[in-house]
Amino acid sequence: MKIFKHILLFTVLLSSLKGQQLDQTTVQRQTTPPEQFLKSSNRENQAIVPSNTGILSPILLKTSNITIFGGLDNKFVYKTNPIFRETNLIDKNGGKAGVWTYTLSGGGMINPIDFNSALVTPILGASWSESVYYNNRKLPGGGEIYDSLETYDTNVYALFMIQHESGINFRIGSSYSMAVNVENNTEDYYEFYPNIGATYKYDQGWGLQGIFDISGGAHYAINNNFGDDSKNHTQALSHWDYTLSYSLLYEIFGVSLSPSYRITTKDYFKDTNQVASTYQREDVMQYISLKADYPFLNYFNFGVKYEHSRRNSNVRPSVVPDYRAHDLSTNLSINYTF
Amino acid sequence: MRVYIPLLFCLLSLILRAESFTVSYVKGIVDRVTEEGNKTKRSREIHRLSLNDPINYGQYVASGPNSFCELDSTSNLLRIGDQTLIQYLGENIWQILDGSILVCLLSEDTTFSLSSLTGKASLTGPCTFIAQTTSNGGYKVITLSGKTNIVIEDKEQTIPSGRLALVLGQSKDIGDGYDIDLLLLLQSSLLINAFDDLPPTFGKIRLAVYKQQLKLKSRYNLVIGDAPTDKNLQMWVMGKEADKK
Repeated sequence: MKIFKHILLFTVLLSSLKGQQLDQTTVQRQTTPPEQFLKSSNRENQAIVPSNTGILSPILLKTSNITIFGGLDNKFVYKTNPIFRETNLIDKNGGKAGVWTYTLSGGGMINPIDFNSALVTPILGASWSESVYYNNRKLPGGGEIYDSLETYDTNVYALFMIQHESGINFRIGSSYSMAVNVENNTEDYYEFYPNIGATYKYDQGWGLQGIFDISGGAHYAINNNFGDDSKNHTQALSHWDYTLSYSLLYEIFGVSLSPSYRITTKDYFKDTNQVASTYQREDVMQYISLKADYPFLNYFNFGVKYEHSRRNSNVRPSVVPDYRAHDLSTNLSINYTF
Repeated sequence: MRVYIPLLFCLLSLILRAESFTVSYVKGIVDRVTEEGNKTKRSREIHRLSLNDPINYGQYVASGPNSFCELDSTSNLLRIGDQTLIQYLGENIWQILDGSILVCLLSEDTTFSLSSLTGKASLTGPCTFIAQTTSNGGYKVITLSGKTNIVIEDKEQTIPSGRLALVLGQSKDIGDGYDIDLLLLLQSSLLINAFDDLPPTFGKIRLAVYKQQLKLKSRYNLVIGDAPTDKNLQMWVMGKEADKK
């Protein structure tokens, strides 16, 4: 019976989640190249025997001044709270969903420019993803129905990666993102996001690496009014975000394990959410996650991730619900540089 | 008397300008050997090195197994690997008789002269490089950061970071260059990891690794070994493929 339910879940596409919209400010969008592209890969399963000079192994370098990279990611996420309802409403109404996301990404970068104490790498990139939400919802009179929601997300970003000799990697750039609801063929949300950030990776001993990341930026957003037609737009979701995260990285048997904590504050500054109006909205979002990545065959990566997230807003829950969510995801990706 | 005063100043300024090296790190058994006398009657004084000991012209530094030493001057730094024998011939003039050294040339103006049994070259930076003797009497130079400018008898070549070049012994020439996996080298090099601290130019080395990783196209499962003659360079297959063979 359960198998039948799952088959139904993935094959039957009935009505869309009418009257429901995703909170686009909770969506993590790509503003840097895929992690696997930037990660320095070690040789697999190789015992390193130390010597005075070290192992002198020849390599082949690209001769071109431009590097083109591309990738494909196929991810399935099981979400306990896909549309970020208030926590106590989830169990009553069902609301758990499976989300299948296909992401196609690509970009190019110019060879790093040497500034003596830093290397600056200009990068241009874009990604396009399709997300399909499969949701089974309990009806008040008993029984359940299957809903689906399909969105397209497009991101374009330009950034300068600045690798300083201290080991800190700075980034400054901007991105443009757009979300389209396939059912209504409406641009639900688009934003312009100038941002800066810095990452510091250090050796913590016992094979552990610690990674600090700090970032911030302004989301200039325009979105459809909830439940209104597409002609009525608002900038109410425009906000500043300040993010601090700390991760650990440990590699064992070719698998990299990474527990992580991230906290983001979002200060809204437009329309109904701005100071001069009825209230100033401030959200605090926290994420705890555990991720396992297994790179194989040079270009592939298989990953499993669990993430617990919660939002606390200073606005009353009927307007901006405080929520908790658990996501369990698995992904298979391929990244290639030309 | 008036004639001697300027001469004294000249002498003093020369002494102050001279690159004197002192021991800034020592681990294990590292000796300073001083040879005195002429060819017929020669005596050797052996002194076990400890922190702040000076190294003077003509003296040798010899390290035992699992023994390492770091020598510091105002503009250069030398790390001496285990089972290595080098001699300080004059101001920034060194001879490597056996083993490996790491050299940080901190100043742009400094010319560092390094000879082996038969090879000889002048190197300028600022850069960090490793030199290792080979059986043909020459030595390998691997630039870790910056650009090493090598001059051998009017022939000049710039070796960028991550590249290995051979200072050939018999033909007094610069051999072929090979791009080397810097990340793997850093992970496995005792000249980097056997010391308590990282070299002062490690920030620059880190940038060189970052740059190389972004430009990396493919790796070979090979290890570069010795150069028994000027025309031969040994290469070994490593990893699983080597086990199969």
